[in-house]
Amino acid sequence: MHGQEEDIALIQMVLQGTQSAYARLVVRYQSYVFSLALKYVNDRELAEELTQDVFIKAYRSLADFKGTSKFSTWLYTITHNTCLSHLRKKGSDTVYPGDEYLASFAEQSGHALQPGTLFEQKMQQQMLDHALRLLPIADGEIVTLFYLAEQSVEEIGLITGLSASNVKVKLFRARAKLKEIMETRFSRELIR
Amino acid sequence: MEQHELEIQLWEYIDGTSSPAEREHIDMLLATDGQVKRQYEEMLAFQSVLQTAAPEEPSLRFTKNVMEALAQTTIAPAANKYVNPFVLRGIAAFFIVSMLVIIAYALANVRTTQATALSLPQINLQALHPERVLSPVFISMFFGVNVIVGLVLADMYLRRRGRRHT
Repeated sequence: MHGQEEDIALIQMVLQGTQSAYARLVVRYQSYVFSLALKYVNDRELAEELTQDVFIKAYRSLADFKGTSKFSTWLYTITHNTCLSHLRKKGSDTVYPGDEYLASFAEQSGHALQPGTLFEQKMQQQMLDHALRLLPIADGEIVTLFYLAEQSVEEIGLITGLSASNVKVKLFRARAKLKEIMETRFSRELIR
Repeated sequence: MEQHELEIQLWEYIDGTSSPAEREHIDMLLATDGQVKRQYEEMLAFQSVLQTAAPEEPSLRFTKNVMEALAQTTIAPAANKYVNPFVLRGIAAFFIVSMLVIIAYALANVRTTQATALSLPQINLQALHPERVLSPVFISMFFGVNVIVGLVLADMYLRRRGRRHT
């Protein structure tokens, strides 16, 4: 992940009027924020709109960033709140991938499997991405924050408003669900 | 040890969130119990799969879009700069004093008797003589002060807005 000191230096530059420094922060974190937004909406165009909203909100409130937590933790908290309020506004419009989508993917991966190659690694990664999409939003978010965004259990607690022990329990359950999804839908050999 | 509990402890061990005592306990189990060791290795393998997760990338124009949107956006001043702490303290003091006066008045009017039936203390509002305080002159002054305060606040707001635009 990125250095906290470097983030703080960039933020100081932005606050002093160098707006272009913010572009470097956007480049650094856009894929992580976008990945988190995708856990909520599962529509790339909409996720990109939400990601843009997050960066604009973060920019407007940059003077309120105290540096008591990592910039990434602060940014993911804005992401969490923005995505949640979007879901509340939209109600049940959110679309999740269905079983047919996963079944077709599992079929494709089963036919094309060539063990022991880079291809296998790539397939494993794709399988994980697809299995993550099948998790409930809250579980997918916690797994993404922990493994992808490299946030600690305490930081995930700050982002989601849960206690650290609650995050630990939820992470444990999310991993169990993910393992079950991967074992039942994809070839066991790929997961081992 | 229950299987579920063991699994939680193993995950905490892998994540590095277990206490030194728990780590020692798991180290001992891994050294002596073959079944625990197998389970641990299986979990490690799954952990390595989870670590292969890669972030999704937005469109190539994304950064440019954000920076274009930001061109018309200004950074809001920090909340502690525009929220006057004296105003907050004044409001808090007003409510605290009001509550203390009400409580003191209520306590002063409580009659402790050995009555069998429970009843609320009688508060004699007439004793306060509200007509003395709420006279037409007082009400006019109250509204007058409020209008002046409102105009001062509106003036401050418009000046600040004007400064921001210039």
